[in-house]
Amino acid sequence: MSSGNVILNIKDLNVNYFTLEGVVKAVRGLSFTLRKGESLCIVGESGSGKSTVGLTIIRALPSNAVITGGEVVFNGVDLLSLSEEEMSNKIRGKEISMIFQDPAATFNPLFTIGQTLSDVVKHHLGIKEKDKVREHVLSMLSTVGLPDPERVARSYPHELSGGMLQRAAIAVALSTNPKVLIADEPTTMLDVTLQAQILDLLRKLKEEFNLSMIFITHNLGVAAEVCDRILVMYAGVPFEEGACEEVLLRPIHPYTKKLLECVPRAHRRVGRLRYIPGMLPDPKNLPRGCPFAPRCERAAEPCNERLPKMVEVKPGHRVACHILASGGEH
Amino acid sequence: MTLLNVVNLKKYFPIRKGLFGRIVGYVKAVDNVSFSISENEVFSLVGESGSGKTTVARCILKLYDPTDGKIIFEGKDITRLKGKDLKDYRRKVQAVFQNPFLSLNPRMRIADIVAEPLLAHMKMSRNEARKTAIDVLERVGLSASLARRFPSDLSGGQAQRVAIARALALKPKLIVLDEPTSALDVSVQAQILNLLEDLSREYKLSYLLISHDLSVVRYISDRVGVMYLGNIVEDAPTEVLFESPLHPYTQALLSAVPEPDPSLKKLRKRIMLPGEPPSSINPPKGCRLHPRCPRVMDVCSREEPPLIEVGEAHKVKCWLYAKK
Ligand SMILES: Nc1ncnc2c1ncn2[C@@H]1O[C@H](COP(=O)(O)OP(=O)(O)OP(=O)(O)O)[C@@H](O)[C@H]1O
Ligand SMILES: [Mg+2]
Repeated sequence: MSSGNVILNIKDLNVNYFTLEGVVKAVRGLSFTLRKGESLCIVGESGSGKSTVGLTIIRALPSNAVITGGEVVFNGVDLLSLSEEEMSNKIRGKEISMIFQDPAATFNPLFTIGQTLSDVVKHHLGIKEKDKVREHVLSMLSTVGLPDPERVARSYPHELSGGMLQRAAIAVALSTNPKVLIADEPTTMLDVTLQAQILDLLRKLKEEFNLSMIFITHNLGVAAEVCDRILVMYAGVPFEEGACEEVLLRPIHPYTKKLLECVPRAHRRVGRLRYIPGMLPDPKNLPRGCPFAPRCERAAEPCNERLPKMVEVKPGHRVACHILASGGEH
Repeated sequence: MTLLNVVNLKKYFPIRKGLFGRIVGYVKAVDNVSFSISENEVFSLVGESGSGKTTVARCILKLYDPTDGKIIFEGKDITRLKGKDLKDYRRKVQAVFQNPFLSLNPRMRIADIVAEPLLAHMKMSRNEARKTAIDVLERVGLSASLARRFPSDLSGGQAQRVAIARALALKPKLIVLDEPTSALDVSVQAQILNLLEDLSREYKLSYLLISHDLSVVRYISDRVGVMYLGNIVEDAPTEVLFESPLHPYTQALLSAVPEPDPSLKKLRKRIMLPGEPPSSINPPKGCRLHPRCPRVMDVCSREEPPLIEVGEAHKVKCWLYAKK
C-alpha cells in the first residue's frame, strides 16, 4: 500500500503521567499508521494505555501527562507541534473527533442536544444562517438513527437513554465531517443488544463518511466485529499488530495467544479455560524488560533486560517479542 | 434435590410524586418469576439492565421484601424465618458482588475480614477463626503472607478472591454471584471462573449467577433463565439454550454477543430487535416483547403467554410454542 493512503502516522510515542506516588509510563515506543477508510482497533486490558493513545492524538491529555517523545503526523503535520489554538480550531472535533465510553462526556448537561450540536456546526463549519444550522443538526440526528430528531434536539442529555445519548454523541462527532474518528470503548456501558446496534451504526457511517477509525476496546469480540486491523497493547507497550483475522485466528505473540485462550465464548462450547497466571504489572513499578515477562512461560534472559521492539514477521503482521525475534517457534 | 424454589415472585417499587409522596404507579421490577435451583447446580439469570435479575437476587438475600410470591429454601419459606432459622439462612446463603472493594472493610486485615463472620456464625474462638480464615484464603489461591495486609494492597482479582473466601468460610449451600467478574480483566477473570467452578464441585455448592456477560454464563452454568422486563421468558439447560434458543428475545440476545472468532462470525445469523426495552412502569400489554418482536402475531398484543414446557427442563414464555 502506498504511503499516500496514510492519514495518521504515530511514530515512537512515549507518554508519562506524573503522580505523587511516582511516574507512570503509560505508553512506550508506540508506532502505527492508520490508512484512509481503515479501522484499526487498539485492544488491551486495563491500564494498557489505550485511552492515553486516543487522548494524545487529539491533544486532550490531563495536565499531569507529559509526552516525552514521538510524533503524531496527520496529513503531513506533526500535531504535537501545533499550538493549542490551532488544535482546537482546525483539528480537535473537526478533522479528528472522539467519542467516549460515557457519552455524557460529549455534552454540557445544561445545554440541549440541539444547542451542543448547533455550536459545533457554527464553530467548525462556519454555517451562520439559523435555518441551515437547524437543518444540518436535524439531518445529523437522523443519520445516526435517532427517531424523532426534533424531540431529541430539544432534550437535555439526562433525558436520553444511554444508547440514544451515544447516538447523539456520534452525531456531534461526525457533524463536522471529520477524517478520523477515535472511539474509546463506545459500547462498554451498553447492553449487548444496544451494543450491536451502535456497532452496526458505526460500521455503516464509516462507509458513508469514508472515515478512518481508531476503535479502542478491551473486548476481543467487539474488535472482531468492527476492525480491519488490530493492535494489541500490554502495560503501555505494543505487542502485536496485523490484519484482524490474522491476529485473532493466527496470533503470534505469546500474550495475544494466551489472551485469546482466556476468553469464554458465547457461540462455542469451550473446555476448561486457560488463564494467565499472576496479574497485570503495577504501572508505577514496571519490570525493566518486557512487561509480560513475569507472566510469560517462555520468558528468557533478554526478556528481563530490554523492551522488545516491533518486528515484521509476516507481511503486514508485526510482533514485539524477544523469543520470536531470536528465532523461537511461533 | 431442590435447594431453592422461587414461586411467583413479585417485587414492585412504588413511584411517589408530590409533597405527600402519593403513589402514582409501580415499577414492576420482578413480575411473577418462578424458578428453582437444585443442590450443586449453577443457575444463571441473564438479561439486560432493568430486566429485574438483580432484584430477584436481592429478594433471595433478604435485602428486599417481596411484594408477593414465595422463596422456599430447604423446604422453608424464607419470609417467615425467625431466630435461629433466620441466622442459619444468613449463613447458608452467601453473596459475592461485582466490586469486591466495596464489600471489604478497608480498615480490617484480610484474615480478619474472613474470620469475622466465623466468629458470629460458627461459635469459634478468635484463634480458630483466624486459622480457618487462613486455610480458606489458601484454598482460593491467596498466600498466608497476604492475610496480614489490607484491602488497599490487593489487585481486583485478589480482592474478589477474598470476597469468595469470606463467603466460602461459612460453608454455605448457595452463593449468589452478582456480576462477579465484570470488574476484572479477562486474564484475571479466567482465574476466578475456574476457581468458582472448582469450589462448586469440591463443596457441592449451588450458585445463582447474575450476569449480563453471556460468554461467562455459558462457561459456568448448568441452567439459564433469560429475563426480559421482569419476566423469565426462557429457562433451559445451558447447552440447549445456547445451541437452540427458542424465544425470539433469547435468539436476539445471543445473536448480539460479539464473537472474537472471525470464522464463526460468518455463520452467525443476526436477529435485530428495533429500539430499546420499554420501561417496566407501564410494560406492554400481552407479551412484553411484542412491540419489538420480529415474529409477533395477533394474539401477542392481547394476551400474556404462559410459560410453556417444550422439552425436558425447557420452558418458553411465547405464543409460538403454544399447542394448537
Ligand atoms: N490522569 C492520570 N494520572 C495518572 N495516571 C494515569 C492517568 N490516566 C491514566 N493513568 C495511568 O496510565 C496507564 C494507562 O492508562 P490508560 O487509561 O491509557 O489505559 P487504558 O488502556 O485506556 O485502560 P482502561 O481499559 O482501564 O480504560 C495506567 O497505568 C493508568 O493508571
Ligand atoms: Mg481507557
